[in-house]
Amino acid sequence: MKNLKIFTVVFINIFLLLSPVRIAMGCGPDLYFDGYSFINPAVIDQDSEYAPYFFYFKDFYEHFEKTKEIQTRDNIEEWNEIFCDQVPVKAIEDIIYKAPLSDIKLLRTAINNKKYPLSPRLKLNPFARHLKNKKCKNTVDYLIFAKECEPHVSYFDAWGPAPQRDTVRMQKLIDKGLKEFKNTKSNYIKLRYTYQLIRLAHYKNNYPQTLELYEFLLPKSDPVESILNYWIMGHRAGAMMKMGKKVEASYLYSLIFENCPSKRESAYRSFKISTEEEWTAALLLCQDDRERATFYAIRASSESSRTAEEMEKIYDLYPDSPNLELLLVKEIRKLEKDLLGAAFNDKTRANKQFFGIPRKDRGNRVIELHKFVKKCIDEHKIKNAQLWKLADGYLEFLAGDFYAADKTFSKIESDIENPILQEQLKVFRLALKINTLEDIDSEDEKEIAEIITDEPLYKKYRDFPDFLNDRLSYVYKNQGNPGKAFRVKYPISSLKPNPQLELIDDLLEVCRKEDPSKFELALITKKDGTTIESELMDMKGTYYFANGKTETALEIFKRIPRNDMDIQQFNPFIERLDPCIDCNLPDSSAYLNKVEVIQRIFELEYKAKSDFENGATYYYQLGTAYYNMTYFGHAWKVMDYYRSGTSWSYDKDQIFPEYYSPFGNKENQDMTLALEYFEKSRATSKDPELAAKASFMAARCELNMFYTFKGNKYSSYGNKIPTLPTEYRRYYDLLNENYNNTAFYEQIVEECKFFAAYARY
Amino acid sequence: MNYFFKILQQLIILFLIGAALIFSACEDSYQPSITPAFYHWKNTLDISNSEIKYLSQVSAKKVYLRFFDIDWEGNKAVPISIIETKNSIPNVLEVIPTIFITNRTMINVPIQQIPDLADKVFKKIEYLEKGFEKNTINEIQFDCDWSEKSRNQYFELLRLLKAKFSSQNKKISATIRLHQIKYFKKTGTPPVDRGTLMFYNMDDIDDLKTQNSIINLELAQQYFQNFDKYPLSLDIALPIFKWGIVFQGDKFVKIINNLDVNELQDSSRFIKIDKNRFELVKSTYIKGYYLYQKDQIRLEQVDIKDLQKAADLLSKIVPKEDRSIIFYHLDSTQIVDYPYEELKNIYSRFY
Repeated sequence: MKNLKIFTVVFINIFLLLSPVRIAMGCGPDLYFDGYSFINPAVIDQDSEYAPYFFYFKDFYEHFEKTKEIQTRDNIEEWNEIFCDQVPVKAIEDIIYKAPLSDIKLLRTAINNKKYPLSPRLKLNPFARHLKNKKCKNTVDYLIFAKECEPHVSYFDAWGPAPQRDTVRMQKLIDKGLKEFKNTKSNYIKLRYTYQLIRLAHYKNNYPQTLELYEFLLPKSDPVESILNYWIMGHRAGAMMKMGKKVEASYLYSLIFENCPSKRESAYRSFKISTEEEWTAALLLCQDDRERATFYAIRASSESSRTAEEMEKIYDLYPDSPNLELLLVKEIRKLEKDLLGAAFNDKTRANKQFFGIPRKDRGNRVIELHKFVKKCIDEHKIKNAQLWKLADGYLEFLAGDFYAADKTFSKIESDIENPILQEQLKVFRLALKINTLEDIDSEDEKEIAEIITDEPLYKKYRDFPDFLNDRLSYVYKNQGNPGKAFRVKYPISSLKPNPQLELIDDLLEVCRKEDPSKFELALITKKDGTTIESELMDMKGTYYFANGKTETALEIFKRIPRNDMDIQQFNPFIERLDPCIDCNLPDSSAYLNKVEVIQRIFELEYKAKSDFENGATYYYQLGTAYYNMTYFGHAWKVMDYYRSGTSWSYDKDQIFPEYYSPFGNKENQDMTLALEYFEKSRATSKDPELAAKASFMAARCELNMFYTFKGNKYSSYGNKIPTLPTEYRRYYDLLNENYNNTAFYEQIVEECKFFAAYARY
Repeated sequence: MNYFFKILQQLIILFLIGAALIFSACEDSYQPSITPAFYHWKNTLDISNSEIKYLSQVSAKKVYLRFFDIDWEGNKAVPISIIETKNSIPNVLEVIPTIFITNRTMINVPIQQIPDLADKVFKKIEYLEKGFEKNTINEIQFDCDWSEKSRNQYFELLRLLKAKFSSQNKKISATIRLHQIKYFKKTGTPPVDRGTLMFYNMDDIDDLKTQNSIINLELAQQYFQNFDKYPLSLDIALPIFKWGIVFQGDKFVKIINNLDVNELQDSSRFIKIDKNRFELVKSTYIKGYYLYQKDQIRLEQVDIKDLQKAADLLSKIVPKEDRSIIFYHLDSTQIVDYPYEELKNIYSRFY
């Protein structure tokens, strides 16, 4: 019998659905924090070299890719600068990063001897042509040397075997490089050789040699302003770290962090101060307060830093520090997560559970930061006062002092000249307006509709729609409009898995308003221009029908226009002993709308009561219809809109979690009416065959009741036929005892292995 | 006749007693082989003399050596924290290369890329095994706290690796969490030769209210189901480590490994606020981490009594069969808290 298979599949799915509580530490749920943010990172100087560090740092790997890009870009730009912007950067990139050693050697030959042409690849390259025409022998020699060094210092494939550095060859290259260094006049090319040589020594794991080369080579050329100075410093610091000079190395890393964006990430990761003593010693190495401030900025960069505390220290040392603005924005973003819309964000519980947000000490944190911002504004030492004033107002907003925030925003409006900050102010004011919506009337709704349709910032800042909808939902709910509260957040289809009368009535009221606001119209109008009234009425009627209020349901369905009513057609009166939910009905089946279904039910009830001769048959037909209209029947759509294959038994009155419906999915698993009619049919039937059939269907009702009763521990695992408790096998017993001599009994024992198992008891 | 029946009756009784004795003797005489072992969970293999001595004193036969981790970086699976070897594991010990795979790797890696990943993992282990040619290697272990989203990919990876290693006559094993046994029908059973039950990290580490996330025997017992039905033979990993969990407010911030209560005795910096909780009186460095005033530290450790209870509880529910008892992990600074006699006593409870 197929039903066993269906039961099995359904039960397995339920099993899969019910997620066990985890007991081992894992990587956590695959979820995202759900909150709002309105601060635009662009408020920080876009040219700031620090911006990528702070805004990409969170995702190291994404940032790692970016740092490599920045490094390449910086290097190419520097070459370009050296060549006075005479060649396109693309051409430089091709030579530095793509051209093979053989091509560069050919270029060198071509410089020496006009007869030798450039390789076809280089002929098209303006940088190569420039090097040839200007006979830049030293540069090309250096490029050859750099390409020779490359295999010894490049990253290896982490999946491959560990690299075996050829230290002998590397030393030979160092010797060669030292000679070429001497023969080079250009200080810039000398610096590049210095970098290559120090890098070789470092990769050779010869740390003393790394430091010796630094000491030896650096004084031998005039200082040149270049990113290479910091690249060299990185290798020097790395060697020092390996030699146990942690404090000195960390100091160098702090300089790299401050001055070299492409190496900032690695400098941060390599910076290692472990004790108070080391910290103090490292600070003593700093030349000035700016350098000391960088130490605090590095410490503030940790995810777990108390940013305001570190910002105070940076400010005291070096109020001009660009790090201050970055840390300010970074901390505001954290506080937004804690505080923005906390009263109405319906994901607050999940945020707390999975991300520990909002933090317990958020109140103190916002107060601390606000106090600090005020101090900075009052003392006039910071660089970008407009940003700090804006932050002042926004922190008031986040702290819940909306009046003060509004006042501050009004006060600073005329002071702000920077267009990005002007936009930021408008965004904060719009967020404040939404956040303070109360007692929404038609005037407010008009304004809300205008914001949605006409306000460009509403569209530009992607958190506005959620922020607005969550706020509206919260306010509507509080002011007694649960339907509108629902509708601003969900499509009407989300109500169908478990229709709620209160919401439906509230929305019907809106549909029937003579003069709905533009916003209300948006809530009730479908894409085709019609309203959702018929859908709501259908849901309401279906709700009553599924809850046994058939007459009320009929009255409601009759008020739905015929065209809308006819969209859904069913025939629950067709009997299927094989309980297939999705199988097609016979082609000849007539289909009825919900009004006609109920009318047919009334007709059968009347006949069952008045026609004593055939009453049992009519009761059987009613039992069949009611059975088919439950979760277990092919006409389940008469009384429900959504049927989950995984729903079977659950401890919440047949309400199952459903991700797109806030009220879950209520399955219509009530077998009472079907059982009642099958029992009436059995009891009144004079025909033992019909009585046997009615008993069998009643037994099936009881089996479904067993599967769905609260706290059922039955598991379908292993296709086990359940051992039914006595109260759920009354009709199987009756069938065995009273109707075992009927033809139906014979047939069902033969066809239905499931029943046959019970028959054997 | 009566006499005959009496004799017969006595013979039957004697037979039954004899049979019972024989069967019970059979039962008692079966003593499973218990193999003591350790995890070595550091980036650098620089095993100290004290550690070597300890391994010998505990009569350890195996070391589960973390070879590398696999993480998802820049949109691809990459090996990280690859083991660096400063010295070697004594030749008498069997080495089980152990690979930790982050769940996010298995979530992100497309199923069609699994064969390629299996190939890379197989080769990488082969490369690294060359450093341990003097040790026996019969097994490779994979450690991943898989979830529903990653299960298919992870199991497919294990299936392919199992096939590859079986050609070298090597078995593969996987770590199993407690809930994965109770709910094994839902979580699935990894396609490996053996499992290792990780009997630690069982409570919610992020929750400020948790007393000890490493071990909570009351909670663990709620998961003592289906051990008799679990399809894999299980080795058991028991914790011998301590750490401090740092909270800011009620938010979990970080773990400080191997933090000892003695390091929190400076009252100018720390104040004890509860049995195993401390608060920072002022911002300060501790074990290389900078913590802030009012941060809280929850000290967690596993004492000998916990281990004894854990062993007693587990030995009653796991089938009596040959297995390894693996202590996590070998660290000279931690093992001082676990005298070798005590560890011997603990694993002997599984006989």
